[in-house]
Amino acid sequence: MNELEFFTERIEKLRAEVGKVLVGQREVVDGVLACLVADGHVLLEGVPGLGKTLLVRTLAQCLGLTYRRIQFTPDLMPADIVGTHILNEDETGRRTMEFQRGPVFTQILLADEINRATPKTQSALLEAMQERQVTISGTSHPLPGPFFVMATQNPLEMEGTYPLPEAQLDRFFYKVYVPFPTLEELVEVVNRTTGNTTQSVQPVITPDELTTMRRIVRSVTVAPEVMRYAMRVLLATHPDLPGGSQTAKQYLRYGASPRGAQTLILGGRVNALMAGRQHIGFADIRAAAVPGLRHRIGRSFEAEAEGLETDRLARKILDEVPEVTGAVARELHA
Amino acid sequence: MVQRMSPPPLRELDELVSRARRRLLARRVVRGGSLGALLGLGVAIFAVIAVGQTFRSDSVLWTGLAAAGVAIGVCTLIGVSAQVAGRHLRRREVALLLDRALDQDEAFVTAAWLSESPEVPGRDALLEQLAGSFESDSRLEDVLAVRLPTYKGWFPVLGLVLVAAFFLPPYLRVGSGITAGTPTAQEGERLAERLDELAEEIGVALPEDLEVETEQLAEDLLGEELSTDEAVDRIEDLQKKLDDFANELEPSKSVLDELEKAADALQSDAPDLAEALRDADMDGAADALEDLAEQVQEMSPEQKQSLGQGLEGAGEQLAGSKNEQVSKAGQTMKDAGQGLQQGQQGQGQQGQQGQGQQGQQGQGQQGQQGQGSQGQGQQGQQGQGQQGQQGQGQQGQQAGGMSQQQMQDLQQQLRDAQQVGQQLQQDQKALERAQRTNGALEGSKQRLGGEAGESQGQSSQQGQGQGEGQGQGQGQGQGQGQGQGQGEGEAQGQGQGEGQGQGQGQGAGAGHTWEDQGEFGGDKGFNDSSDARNDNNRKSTADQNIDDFQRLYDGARLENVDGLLAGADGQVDESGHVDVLPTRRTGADESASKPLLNIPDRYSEAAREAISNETVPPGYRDAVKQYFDETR
Repeated sequence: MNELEFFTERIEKLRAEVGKVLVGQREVVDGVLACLVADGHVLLEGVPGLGKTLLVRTLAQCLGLTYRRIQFTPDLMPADIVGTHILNEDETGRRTMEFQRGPVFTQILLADEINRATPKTQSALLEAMQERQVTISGTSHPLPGPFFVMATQNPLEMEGTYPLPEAQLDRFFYKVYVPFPTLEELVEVVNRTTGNTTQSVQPVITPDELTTMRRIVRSVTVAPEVMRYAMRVLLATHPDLPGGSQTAKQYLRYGASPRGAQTLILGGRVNALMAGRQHIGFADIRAAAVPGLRHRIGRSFEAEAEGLETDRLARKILDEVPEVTGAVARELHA
Repeated sequence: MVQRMSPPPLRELDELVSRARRRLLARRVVRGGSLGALLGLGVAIFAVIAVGQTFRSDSVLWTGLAAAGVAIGVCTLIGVSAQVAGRHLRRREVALLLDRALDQDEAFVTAAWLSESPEVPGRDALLEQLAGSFESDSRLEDVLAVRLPTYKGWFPVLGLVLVAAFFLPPYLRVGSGITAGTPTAQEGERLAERLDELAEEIGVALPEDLEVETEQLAEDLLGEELSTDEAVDRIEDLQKKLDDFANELEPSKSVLDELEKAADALQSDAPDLAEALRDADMDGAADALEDLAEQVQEMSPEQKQSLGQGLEGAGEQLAGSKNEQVSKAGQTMKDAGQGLQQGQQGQGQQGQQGQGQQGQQGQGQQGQQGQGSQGQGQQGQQGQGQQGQQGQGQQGQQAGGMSQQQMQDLQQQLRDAQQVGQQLQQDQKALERAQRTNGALEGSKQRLGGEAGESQGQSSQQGQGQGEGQGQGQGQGQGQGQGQGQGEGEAQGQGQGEGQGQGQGQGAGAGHTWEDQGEFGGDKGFNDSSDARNDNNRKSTADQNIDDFQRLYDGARLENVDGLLAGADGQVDESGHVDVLPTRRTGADESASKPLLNIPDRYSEAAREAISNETVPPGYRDAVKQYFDETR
């Protein structure tokens, strides 16, 4: 079995196992799996009750990884997440300060309704997400690997929410929208949840296999032409750069960071593997662009006034960036 | 280091790339050739037209064909060469093109890159995987099809135009020197039309030989039987004959001028008589004189005095005429005038005072120049001031008048000269006909490219234009007069007096231009031979005045200015260009360049200059002056 077959088989297993519990939501599942195998974190956005938490819990079970959930509330403090030093007295009566690990010390962390906490608390996850470690009182504590944060948030328009700062958003690989189920999916959801039968989920891949999958992802070949296309797409999101697209100049305040470029390539690699290829095409970049850029670009007042969402703006930017340029484009359209 | 492909999959890729390159080359050749041929067709059309106008021999058809063939061939060759010599796609670019054309998810370009990058781990394994994509080359001919460009529809269109350029325009008819549609033929048509208009308008024919020759010239021009040079020569020859004919009529013109001057002298005291003399209507003049004789008895002494002076002056003018009958009548008229004055004095009653003064007559200011349609200066007649108010002084009493016999003699002489008058009328119209025909010919010659200077000078001496002008003038004069009165009475005296007189005069004059009916606009007529301009020049004087007015005072608006205004300061130069003084848009950063308060003064000044330069049509001068005076 070659690497491609190994990867696709594991992905299919994960899809099937998650599908036992979660009805439909194929794109959401693929998006979360892409983040998982790309070693990134995912931000799920949707109204309550759409199965976001269920998806995360199920995925943790499928992977056989440790799983913790933090329910973010306005009074949640950073120490509640990363842990704190407490005074401990042993049997001899000797008192020592001992570090009490917070719930962040897990392999899969569900940060539920992350935008209900204050920005200060939200920022407690910054180091954990990027460095895979937590520093408290000058001491760094590495997190167990593989570490994967899945955060959910309610739509920003809802009451009692604090928008995530750009630095926090940038650390999420994808932002995945959880849509409302279709009629058929709703029927299936109700059938599964209101009867006596329950579906049990078993681990289908091991942490080592997940690590192997992540290595395979990073070995996917990217031709320079494709790489440049991805970079042109990224530059096109910047309104103030020479490569900025007309859409960006008109509707965006800021464009995606270099993490966005990494996302385009890594996401493209995952998409290529999921499509059964070990080389990236332009289509893989385009597929990764919308979930990978939608939370990394900032709308201008004009875009907000016209009701243009970031998804639509990202697609407009993709339309404006040609895949091939110069003599090749001329010959292609001749 | 680039490593060329050796494994079988890469050889397949290389083969595919090579085939694609050949297809691309073929497409370039077709594309460049098509574009070149299309341009060549366009050039060929112009070449055929140029050949047709340059060569006037039997070989024109073959020459045109050769020119068209060369044009198409050269342009096609250039187009192909430009495409072939242009930069060709590199290997990876071709691979990328194949990816996009065959929808291979960039398998080709990835393989091409891997073949150049041996350091990539797992390269061979990946190339083996990609090899499956290389088999889908059967669609290559479809996706890289060699076909004519989208603008191929222009080929039949331009081809038809090229054929039409060969056969439809008559100027390519083999053997014809000049054909319909040439300036010469157009000029013939225009000249014939103008001659008909003149004949209908004036109603007097030229001498038969001139009439025939003029019509023949128009027919020859219209019939395309003359080259341009020949046409100009014929026109000049005919112009010379017309000038000779006009010179033959010079004596008649001289007499007419004398009658005109005599009429001027009588205008204020005997207008009917003046009008009849001006028209060379001797019978009418005799009738007017008869009426005048009946009115003399009822005239005041002053009127008689004035009439006597007028008759004397008119008589003096006519007495010097070369025409015997007119001269004789003039002498009689002079005597009658003197008699009228002398009778008045001789029978005068006693002066009341020994001194008297008579104010000199105020003299009217010269009337403004009339302006014809061509802008040629036409001097209006001098206004005659009314007689100044008499100063203090004694005036002799009036008595008596001219003798009855003198009146009868004069009437008879005038009636005897009736035939002369009729001849003069005929000659006057014939002269006008000759001059205006000459003007029409001059215009034709200029449009055909003849020299202008000589004709202009010549015609300016003889031509009598239709330009009309009116002028009004006011003048003040001061004069001193001396008067003596003699009479029988108890007292005698001499006196001196001073008087002041004011006079007003009106003058109207006929402008003299070289051309007929204002058909050509001054210098423009000499220089511009375009049909459109000529058509415009055919407009009536009124139309042209309106055009001038609109050109002057239609506001000009700046282009691409979405806000505010621009203005014109109303000056038209000789070329018809309107000087524009754009005003600044509001909202601009820079400050205003000219205070608004100064604008009306500037406009008013420009209007005054335009009026003084006679740029403004006469009929609009008062209105323009009033308008700009009110804006200040």
